[in-house]
Amino acid sequence: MIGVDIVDLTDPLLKPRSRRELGFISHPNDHYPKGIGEETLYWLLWAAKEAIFKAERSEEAFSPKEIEVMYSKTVGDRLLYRGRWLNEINGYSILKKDNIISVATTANIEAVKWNTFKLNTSNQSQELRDCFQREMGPGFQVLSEVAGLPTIKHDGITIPASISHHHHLGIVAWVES
Amino acid sequence: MTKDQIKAEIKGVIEPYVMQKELLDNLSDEIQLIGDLKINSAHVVDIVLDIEEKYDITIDDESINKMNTIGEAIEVILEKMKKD
Repeated sequence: MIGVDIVDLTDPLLKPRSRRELGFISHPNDHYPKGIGEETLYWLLWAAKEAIFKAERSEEAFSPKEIEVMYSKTVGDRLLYRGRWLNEINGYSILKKDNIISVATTANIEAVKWNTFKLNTSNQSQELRDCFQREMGPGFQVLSEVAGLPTIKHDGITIPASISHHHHLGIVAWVES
Repeated sequence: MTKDQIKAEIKGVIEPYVMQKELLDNLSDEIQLIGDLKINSAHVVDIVLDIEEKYDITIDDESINKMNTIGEAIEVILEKMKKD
């Protein structure tokens, strides 16, 4: 399964995060990359925990304090981590000046593909689906299963997907078979 | 302060975080902040910080996890106002 999260750091509604807010989402076993300030650290942890939660596709409520994230090393622009919640899971985050992307999967992490999009409407979920279809062509379609979890239909084959949107950014991720 | 007063005020607190403003038209206790109002989960902490400032209270992380609906958020505010 796959989970993805995107944080648009340009969102003016985001208040500063400090050690106290970090405590709202931290697990005692969380392991952070070194040399990163609390503000960025908060969002790196948040995005990873959201991605792990989505990848599990559990009906349980999202509780970031129960999800472990252990960042290990950096490869290129990827901050690799191992996550632990209901299962062990691999993922990576990409930290840019204005946004953070995190993907987690129980599958081969190298098989994960994703596209990001600029969003401008208030119905971001639909706009993201429309943008994806325009970008990828008519052979691709993002669908919702009965439980509301997204899948991608490609040439008749349905594969698990994950979507995330925040402020003016959206992302669709899937595992290429 | 009564539950109805807080309910009227909390609409103003969460309004900036609700992108589809029509979702605020019928705000009942059972309405979920994320599921029904489609508030981005990243903003839950921002709403908590706004509430803390508005009511001069401190909300612990255990209470944050209880604030899934409008009614639950009001209950947390009332409880913390009694204590603080």
